[in-house]
Amino acid sequence: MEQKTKNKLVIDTFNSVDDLYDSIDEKGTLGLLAFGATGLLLWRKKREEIKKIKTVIEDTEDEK
Amino acid sequence: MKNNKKKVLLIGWDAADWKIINPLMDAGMMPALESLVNNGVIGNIATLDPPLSPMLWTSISTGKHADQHGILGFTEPAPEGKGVRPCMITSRKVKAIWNMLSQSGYKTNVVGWWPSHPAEPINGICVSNFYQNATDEYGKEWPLAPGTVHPRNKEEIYKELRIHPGELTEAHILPFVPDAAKIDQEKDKRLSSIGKITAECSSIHAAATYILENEEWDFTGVYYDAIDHYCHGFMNYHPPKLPYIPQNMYDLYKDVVQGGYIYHDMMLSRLLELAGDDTTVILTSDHGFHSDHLRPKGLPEEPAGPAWEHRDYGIIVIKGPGIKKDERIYGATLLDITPTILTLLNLPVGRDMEGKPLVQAFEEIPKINYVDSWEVIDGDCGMHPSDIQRDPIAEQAAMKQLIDLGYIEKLDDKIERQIEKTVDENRFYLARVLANKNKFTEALPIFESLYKKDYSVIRYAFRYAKCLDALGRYDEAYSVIEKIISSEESKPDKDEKLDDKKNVESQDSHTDKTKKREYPQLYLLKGTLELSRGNYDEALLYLKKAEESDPRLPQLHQQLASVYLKMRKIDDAEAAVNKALDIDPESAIAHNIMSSVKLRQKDFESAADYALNAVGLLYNYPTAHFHLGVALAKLGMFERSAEALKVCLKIAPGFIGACKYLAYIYTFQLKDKEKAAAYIEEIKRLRELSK
Repeated sequence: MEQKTKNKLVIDTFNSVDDLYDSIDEKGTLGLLAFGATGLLLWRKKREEIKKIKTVIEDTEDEK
Repeated sequence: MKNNKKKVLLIGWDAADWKIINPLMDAGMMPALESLVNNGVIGNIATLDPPLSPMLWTSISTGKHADQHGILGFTEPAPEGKGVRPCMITSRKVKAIWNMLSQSGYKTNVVGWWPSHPAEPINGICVSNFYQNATDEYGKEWPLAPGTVHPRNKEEIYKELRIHPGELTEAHILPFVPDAAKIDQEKDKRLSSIGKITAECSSIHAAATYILENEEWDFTGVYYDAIDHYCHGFMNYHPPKLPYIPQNMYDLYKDVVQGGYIYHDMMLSRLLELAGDDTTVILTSDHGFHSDHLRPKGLPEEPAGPAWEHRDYGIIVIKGPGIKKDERIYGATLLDITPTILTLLNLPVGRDMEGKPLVQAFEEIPKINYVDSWEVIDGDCGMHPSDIQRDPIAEQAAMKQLIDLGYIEKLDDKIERQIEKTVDENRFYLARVLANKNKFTEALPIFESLYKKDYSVIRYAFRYAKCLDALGRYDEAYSVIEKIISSEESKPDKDEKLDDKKNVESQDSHTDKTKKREYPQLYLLKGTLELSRGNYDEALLYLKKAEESDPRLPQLHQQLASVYLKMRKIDDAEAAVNKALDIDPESAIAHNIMSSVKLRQKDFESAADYALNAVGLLYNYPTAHFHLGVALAKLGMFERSAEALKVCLKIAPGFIGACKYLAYIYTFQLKDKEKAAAYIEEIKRLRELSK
C-alpha cells in the first residue's frame, strides 16, 4: 500500500476479450474479479506472462 | 415432470438493505441493480426470528420454518461426541428447492448456500459453503475439503477458481480503503479482513459465473455472504458518523460498506449478462442491517450477539418474463421464495410449506397447483442417503444416555461443555421459532428447562417470561422478571461507558461487556406484563423507567401507546406512536397501533392507510388485517372489508373479533345468510373452546 490510487469501482467496457486482456495489469482490479471466472483466469494468465517477461529482462540485465 | 423452458437464477445477498442501496442507486453507483429494479418488481422481505443466517437461508430454500427444516443455529454437535462443528446440510430434514427441481428433471446448480456442505448429489453442480475458506497461508497447498463439489469429477475445475486472500493486491483493497497506506497493519488487522471477505465472495462468484457460462442449467442458486460481513465489520464507520467513532477511524473506513455494495453490483452485472433476458432473476436478502441511528452502540455478550445489528426487513427483487415492471410488492417473507419459484416453473407448491407464491409479482395471476407435501413424492431428489442424514440434538441425547449408562467413556470436560452449550443454544433457537409461530405451549417447556438450568442467562429468562405472558400466566412471568432484575442489581457495578478506543481498534469491537441493553428491555417487559394484567398505572411507571434508560428503545413507545389506548388517552397514544415511527418508520407494529388510534379518532381513511402500511411491511400480522377490515367496513367498503377479515382469520383462525365483524357484514350488509350463519357458528364454537 505505498500510494493512494484512484478508486476503480466500475467495470470498464470492453469490445472483446482481447481488449480486456490488453488492459489487464499485474495487480488486477475488482472489475476483473467481478467479471467472474473469465476475469480471474485472464488476470492469472497475464500475471504469468508479465512474470516471464520480467524474468527475461532481469536475465538480460544480469548478462550485461 | 419438467414442463417448460423457463430458467430461474436465485441470487442471495446476505443482509442487503434498501436503506443503504437506495442512496447508492440514486447516485448511479449501482447501475446493474437499478436496471433490475426498473424492469421488475421490488419490495421488503420480512425476516424470521431468530435472524440467524443458516436458519434463514434454509427457510428461503425450503419454504419452511426451522422447526420443520431442522437447521437450528450456526453450529451443531459433531457425530460421536467429537465436539462442535459448523451446521451441515445433513441436518436438514426436508427437501430444498434444488432437490424438488432435481427430481422434476431440471438441471439444477447451487453455489455456496449456507449450509450446503457436504455437496448434495443433485442433477447438476453443487459447490458447498466450505468451498471458499482458505485454510493456510498463500502459496501453500490449499486442498478442497472432501465433499465440497458435486460431481467429484469437476473438483479440479472448481478448485482452480478459488481466490486466496493472499492473491489480492492493493488494487482490490484501495477501493474500500483509499488511505490504506496510513494503516499500521501490525496493530490493525482490518485490512486483511477486507481481503478475506472480498476473496471469499470472489471465489463464490467465479464458481457461479463458470457454471452459467459452461454448464447446462434451468435453475441456479448462488449465495454471497460478503455484504453481511462488510457490515458487521465496518457499519460503525458508515456515514453518517456516529458520535463515539473517532474522526481518523471514520475517515479510514467510511467507504467499506459502500464499496462492498458497489462490488456486489459489479458482480450482479456479470451474472445478469450471463443469465440473459429470458431468465427470471430473483435477488433476495435474509434480513436487513441497521445503518442509521438504530445502529447499536454495543452488543450483548452472548452467542449470536451480532444478530442485534440485523434489521427486520431485507430486500427482494424479481425480474423476468411474465413479471410486472417497475412495481412494488408487499408482504413478502423469506418463506415465499420457494413457493414462488415452484409457481414460476409451473410446479406444485407443497401444502406443508409455510409461505405463499408472490402472485402480485406476476403480470397475469398464475394458476397455482398444490401437492400435500414434496416430502412424500418419490424420486431421486439428490439428497444425501438417509443413513447419513442427522438429527444432532437427538444424537446428543442418545450419546449422553450411553455415557450415563457407562457404554461410552465420558467425554473430556471441555468438549462436553462445548457440546452442551451448543445443544442449549440450538434448543433456544428452536423455542424462539416455535414462539414466533404462536406455538407457545410447545416453546414453553424448552424455555423453562433452559431457564431452570441457569437462572443467570438473561436471554433465556427474558424469552421464558415473554412466553409465560403470551400464555396468560402473568404472575409467573412477573416473578421471573423480578428475579432477573434483583439478581442483576445485586451484581457489582460495571462501567457502562463503552471504551471508544477499544471499540475501534479491537476486532471484537462489537462486544459491549456492560448489561446496558438488558435493563431497559427488562423494564419494558415488566411494563408489558403490567399492561397484560390490566395495571395501567404500574405499566406506565415501568415503561417510563425504561424510557429513562434508553429513550430510543424501538418497542418502548409502541407499548406506551398501547397503555394510553387502554387508558383511553388517545392523544397521548398518538404522540407515543409518532415517536415510535420517528425512531423506526418501517415498524409494522407502530403502523398497526396508529391504525388503532385512528379508528378511535374515527378517522377511518387514515386507519385503513396505516393498517395497509402494516400488512405491507409484515403480511402475517392478523391484527393489522383486522384493523384494515374494520376501517374498510366503517368506510362502507364491505366486500374488501370481508376479504381483509378473512385473511386475518386465515392467519389466526381463533380471532373471534374478525368472526363477529364477518357475521355482522354478511348479515346486515352483504345479505348472505349462509355465510353469516357459518361465522355465527364459528363464534359459538370459539366461545365454547374458551370455556
